[in-house]
Amino acid sequence: MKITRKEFLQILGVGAAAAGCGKAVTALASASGEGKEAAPQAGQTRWGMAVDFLKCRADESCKDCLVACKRAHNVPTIPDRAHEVKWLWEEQFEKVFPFQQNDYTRTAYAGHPLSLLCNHCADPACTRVCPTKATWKRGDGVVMMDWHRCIGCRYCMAACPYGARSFNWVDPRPYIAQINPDFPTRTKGVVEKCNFCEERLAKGEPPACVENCKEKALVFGNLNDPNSEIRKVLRTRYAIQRLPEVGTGPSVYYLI
Amino acid sequence: MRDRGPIFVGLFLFVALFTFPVWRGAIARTVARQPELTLPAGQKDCVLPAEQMRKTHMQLLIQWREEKVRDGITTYTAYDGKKYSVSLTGTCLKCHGDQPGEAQLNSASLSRSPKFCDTCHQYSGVSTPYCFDCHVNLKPTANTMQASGTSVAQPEAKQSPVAGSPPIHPVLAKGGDMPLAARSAR
Repeated sequence: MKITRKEFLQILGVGAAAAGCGKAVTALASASGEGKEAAPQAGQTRWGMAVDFLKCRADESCKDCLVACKRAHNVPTIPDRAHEVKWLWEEQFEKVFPFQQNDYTRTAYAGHPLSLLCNHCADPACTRVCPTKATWKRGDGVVMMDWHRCIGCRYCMAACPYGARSFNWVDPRPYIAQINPDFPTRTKGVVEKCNFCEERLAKGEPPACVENCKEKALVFGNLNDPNSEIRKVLRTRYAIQRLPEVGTGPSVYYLI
Repeated sequence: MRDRGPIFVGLFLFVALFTFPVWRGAIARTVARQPELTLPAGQKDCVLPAEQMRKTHMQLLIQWREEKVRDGITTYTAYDGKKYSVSLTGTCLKCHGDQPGEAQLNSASLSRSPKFCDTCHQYSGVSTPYCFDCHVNLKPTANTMQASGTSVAQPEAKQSPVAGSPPIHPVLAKGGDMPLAARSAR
């Protein structure tokens, strides 16, 4: 079979058009949102927090933020550490930032407790692996959980590099000192974590830990607003994040 | 076919006895006992008319759940234009809960579903709702709301979370566009 020059050019043209269509279809499909949730946009809020380690170190007996968090969210106090449920919790500095010290600064930091919480990452690992979308990232930066939808598979716990998620191995109710009727408890078999007090943010109030910190060691605000209090603090103080190298983009900063 | 007589008499007797409860009720004009619902005192309207509530409360509960948790919508405008806070404990149980005070806050009775739910669910053989494994079965009173408010360390310094609408906290006022940035998430 012989092809004339005209036919050859026609086939070439049709082939190019087909390839172009294919490209357009895949581009459209990826643009329509599957897997892309809540990309940060200009003018949008991104809630963040800064924990002033120096202020916390000054009075280590103060547990106001921890108490307030537990009260606000019915977080159980379970003596068995294997069943511990953590929203806002304390850890020794050297365990949180093992590489942030040298021979001579060690005494300044080591052994002092630091308040830890969910980092509400910019690109959270936990939300990617959740098979039921029980956890997802909101447009304002809060990594939310829907306990109605959680099936307790604990993939998110495996994915979180910060250990910020806890599983309810037992019914938590007997371990709650005083139940706050304004917030639900959880049930056996779901994962939970800090929700940045989204129920208080909806009312225009700051998180319970921030509000109850007498020393103002916790600074909360919009990371996308250059004039917010937290941005001012981050401009003037040296701040570190937990595990920045894993690329999750934590929204919680530690001022040291 | 000489046994036709006894067979039909037997059949008739069998059917008559088998359906005894039905026709006896029909003759005596008895009506099945209805569940006795205790309606909340001092409150006339629900978020939907009673008839619709009876039929579709489960859909409404799911709608509230999805909208509040996933879209951040915290108010519901009822059919009559009234606005309600989307909250199982705060709105539904304000009328339909059965724990009156803070005395029983720690008791296991918090996990029982309210009598109001149970009465009909048991009557119609529908499994008891498990909402109250997590949500607290408590009728909030002004006292309980205040006693278990979230301001712990400095209750005197902050306004009560229920007294009126609190002003926006200075931190947040500076924080830029607020409360429902959540809505733009989807």
